[in-house]
Amino acid sequence: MVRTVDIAKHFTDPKRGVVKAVDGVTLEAHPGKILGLLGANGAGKTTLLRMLSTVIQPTGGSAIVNDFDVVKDPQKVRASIGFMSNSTALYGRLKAKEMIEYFGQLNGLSEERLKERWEFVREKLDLSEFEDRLCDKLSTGQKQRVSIARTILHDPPVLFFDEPTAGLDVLASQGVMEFIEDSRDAGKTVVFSTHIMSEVERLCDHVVVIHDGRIRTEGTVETIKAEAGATSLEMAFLNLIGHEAVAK
Amino acid sequence: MNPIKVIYLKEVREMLRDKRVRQSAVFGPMFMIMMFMVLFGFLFSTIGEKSNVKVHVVKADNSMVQKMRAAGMDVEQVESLGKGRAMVRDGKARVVLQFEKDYDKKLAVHEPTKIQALFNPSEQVSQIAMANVRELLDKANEENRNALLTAKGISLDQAEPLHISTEEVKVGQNKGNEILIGFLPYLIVIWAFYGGMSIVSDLVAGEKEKNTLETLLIAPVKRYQVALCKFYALSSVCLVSSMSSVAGVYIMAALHLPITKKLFEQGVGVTPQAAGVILLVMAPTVALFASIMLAVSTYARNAREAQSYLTLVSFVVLMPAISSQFIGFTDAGSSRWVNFVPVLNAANTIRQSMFGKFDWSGIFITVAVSLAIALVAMRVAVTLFNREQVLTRV
Repeated sequence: MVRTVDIAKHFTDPKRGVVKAVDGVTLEAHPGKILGLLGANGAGKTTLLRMLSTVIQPTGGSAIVNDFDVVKDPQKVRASIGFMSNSTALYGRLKAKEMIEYFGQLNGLSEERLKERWEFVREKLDLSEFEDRLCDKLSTGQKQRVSIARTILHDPPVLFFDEPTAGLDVLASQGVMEFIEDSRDAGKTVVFSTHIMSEVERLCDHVVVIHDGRIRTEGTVETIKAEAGATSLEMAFLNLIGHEAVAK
Repeated sequence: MNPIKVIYLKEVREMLRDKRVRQSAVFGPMFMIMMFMVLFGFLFSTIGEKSNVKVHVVKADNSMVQKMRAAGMDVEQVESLGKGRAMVRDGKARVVLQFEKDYDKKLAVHEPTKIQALFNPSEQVSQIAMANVRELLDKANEENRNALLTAKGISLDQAEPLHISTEEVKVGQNKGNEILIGFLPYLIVIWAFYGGMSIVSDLVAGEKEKNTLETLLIAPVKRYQVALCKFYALSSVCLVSSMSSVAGVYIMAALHLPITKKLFEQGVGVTPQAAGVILLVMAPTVALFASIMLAVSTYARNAREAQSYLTLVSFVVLMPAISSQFIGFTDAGSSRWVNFVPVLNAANTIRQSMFGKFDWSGIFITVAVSLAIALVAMRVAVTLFNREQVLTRV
């Protein structure tokens, strides 16, 4: 489970003054469900996910991930999460198998458990054909599969996805979305950030619309459409924040 | 497995697969020093040997010309002094000599005879050839003087009553290989820095750029542990690079090449005790370099920015290292303050140990000073590693 209460990230920029990247966000994500964070670029989605994954610390409020506080128990939070973004972020001079094993070892898997999990991800993601190839030599789709394997190798109960399909072709995007659905079906708590409406409509059980660091609205896709008086999620999103964003 | 060990092994594995590291840090220093030695060996064997001294004489084949030939000089004839002058100007002749026609006759009756010599003072080979000719002439003059004195019943002791008796005061345990000692300490220190510089920008700044650092920060590893692993990995590269240059010297010594024979007439010059001191002094120096470079790489937004900062830092390292080459020729080389100057202290201590001089209090100060600064730089690197605005900016 993931829960934030009034979480905030403010920082001072020499040119812009005080920037409120995230400003008092309260939300909950539950096991076996996908929580969608919907927002335009710069809305604060990535900053929120970075706080939840302990890369940066909140300047206000609190956040609990898998029963651990992100500020007080960052190590335990990190051991409970898997994080995937559109950037595969692989080490080019490591082989695919070495790359996955490396993160398994960092996540404290025993040799036996690591072997068992490696066999699982290899079969599930069909890695055997390129497991001994350097990551630099892999195709985009293969890199994406290695990135997914790294994310789930330690079998974390909570998964964060930060615009995971950005820049991917239709086939690769489809693979990622199927993987997110599988994670939900496996009972994981999934937080999924995107600005692609079709993905939200397909995947999310609950949607939080973020703009300028604050929650504009939340609910299911249907309730959000009804609230905005729109027939599509895209129109609903534009009604909620679009005109203001375009004017800016 | 301990996360520090996991990250360290991964960093080393990646580095060894990086062609730049293999070229610049592992084989580069070795190859470079071997090339240096071939070059020095060539210079010593060509410039130093009389057989390589070429002298032109204006149409003459007298006793002095024969003496020059006997000394191994390459003597060639030239038609006139004018042509000889043109040859010197064009760089085709090093020294041109013109003897008086009755040179041998005048010499036999102890009459003065003039030898005109043309050379180019701005060219080193010309200066060397002139010095060799002068040496032969001085010797001939000395023989002539001694013969005259003997003929007049004057002993050499009467003619030269002042005698100087010299004694070499032994400071170190061995005389040392002066040629190697001239540049090896400098190269050992410099390569420790440049070896690390080949990879450090990728180590943190590059990881920020490629987003791999964020995936590492999300793993359940403490940030200071990540910083320590990077530091250990970088230190290993610096040390390997530095020792690679020493290995180059040993390889050249083992090859027994004729061209480098002169360089090793007094042995390699690195005794086991000196090697121990080199390691002792280089360990904190390597730590100093690695921590400074790591701090710079952590602070930089990307690999390119890191490289720019490191170029500036390299000048700060280069200056004391270059000074170490000259300071040995001055009184400052034995001064205590030198031990307090980072980088310079390491190079100077290595130089002294290669001469067999082991000033243990100086070695202790050198190690302590380098270690203290390394700890401060490492503290800065770890602090930067804990600052999210530094770590997450690209």
